[in-house]
Amino acid sequence: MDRLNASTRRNFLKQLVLASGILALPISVQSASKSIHTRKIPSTGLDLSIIGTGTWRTFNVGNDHQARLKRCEVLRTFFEMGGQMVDSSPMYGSAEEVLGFCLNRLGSIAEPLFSATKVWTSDTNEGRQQIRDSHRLWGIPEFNLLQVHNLVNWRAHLDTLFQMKADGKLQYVGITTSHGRRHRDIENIIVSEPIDFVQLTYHLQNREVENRLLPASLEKGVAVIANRPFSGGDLFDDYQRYPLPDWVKEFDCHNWAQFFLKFVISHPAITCAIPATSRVDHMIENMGAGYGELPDDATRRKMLRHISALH
Amino acid sequence: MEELLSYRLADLLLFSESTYLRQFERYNQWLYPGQYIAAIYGLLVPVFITRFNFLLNRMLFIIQGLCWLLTAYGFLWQFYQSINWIASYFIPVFIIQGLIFLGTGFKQHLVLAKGRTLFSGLILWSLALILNPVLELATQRNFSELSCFLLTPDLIAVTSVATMMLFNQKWFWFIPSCSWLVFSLLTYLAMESYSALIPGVSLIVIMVYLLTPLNRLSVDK
Repeated sequence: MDRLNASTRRNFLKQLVLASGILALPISVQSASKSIHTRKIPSTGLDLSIIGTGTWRTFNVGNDHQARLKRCEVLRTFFEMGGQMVDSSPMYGSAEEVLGFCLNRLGSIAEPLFSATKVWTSDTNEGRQQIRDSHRLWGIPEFNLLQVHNLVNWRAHLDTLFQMKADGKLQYVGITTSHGRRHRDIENIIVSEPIDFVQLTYHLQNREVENRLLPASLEKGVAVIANRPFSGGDLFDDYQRYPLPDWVKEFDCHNWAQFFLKFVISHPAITCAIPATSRVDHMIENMGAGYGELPDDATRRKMLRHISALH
Repeated sequence: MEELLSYRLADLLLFSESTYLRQFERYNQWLYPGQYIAAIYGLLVPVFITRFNFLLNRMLFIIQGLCWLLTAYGFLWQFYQSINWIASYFIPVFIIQGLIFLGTGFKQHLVLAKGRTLFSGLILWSLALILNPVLELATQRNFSELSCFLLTPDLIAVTSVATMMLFNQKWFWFIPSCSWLVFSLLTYLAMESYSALIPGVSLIVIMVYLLTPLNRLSVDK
């Protein structure tokens, strides 16, 4: 009965996305739009939904039961709309614990989960303990992806993670940076280490990674996770007061969140973008970006020209 | 170091403003009806302070010492530290400040200040008691999320500094309260919240008091 309800709700949510504009498109486009876009993880060839979710700030609600239940609904919506990657970190306060609470509560609904967390400590042994703690907090035996957070003690932690992967206790190894920091180091690691994923900041107002990191990732076959696709909400502050131009409907974009996200995920090097939200309605908007057409190169340039003219 | 300096204050904040305010809402539910008793007490103290005798002056310190301990246990331990690990480091700070107040209340002979020190103390007291709720309501904070006088960290810190001024206590007893006010100011600034005004203005009043001859002139003999 639960499965039936979940299925009904899943269809309803997908219909909600489609009804917001796609129904006006030709039949061929409609059929192509009914499932979320995926990208292949280069090192394994497995598919991953192009929109994931972050948990920074949004899932750090501590021991507030009411707030935890709301986050469960956000995650339920995420999975029901085809989401897979949930990214967190031990440095996000109680986020991992809250995630564990929600995953346990959602049960089979959370089966598509692609779990991603981080190691963030200057001490190597403490890093191993941190990984054990993360397993306990999430309530899962193995992570799909473990990343060295902000390159803290990265050589030692990568050794640990590569060993875990060799032992079959971990599927993917990655590194992260944010806010455009330490790009030279990141590039060196992409080139010299057999990592599977790199996580970096990429959005309309910060495209520095297009110059070297994204081409290097494509060339080396490293999957790319785009964090802070809304620049921590700054993009909404800057642009949301303006109406969306009509031409964005050509690529199934119906709100500013989708405008920002579709720009990010339409770059061929991006495997997954991880916006974070604490609201179900925002999650529906975010996930909607993964459906329908994506902007081509010419449209991406048009998007850039448009926001330049606004700001 | 260069990398550390590249972070904005907001980048270091682990929770949203709504989550922070939710801690106040939950704390107020936990505390009920303590916030109303504290508010009535806050109104009575300035009215009767000049008529206080030696014993009542001591009681003022003892009550505030207990308020520090209750705030450490209630607000910090029960609620805030679950979203902000830094808050747990303030628990011993609050306990120390509480013990300082209890020790002062039990041991010292307390004489009410006069002149400008008395005035500075009363300004801070009024800031916590009257201006703070007005400001919080004016900035769209719900009634259920209001800071409780004497029993939330900012307001116990501000009123404690006020009390120490009112009774000419030594400046270094201000340090625990001021350390919290600095932390609170940074937290609200990171949220870009107008609530930063209360710890901010309080710190300015304290700095002016400490860095000018005001405090030396104040014990009007």
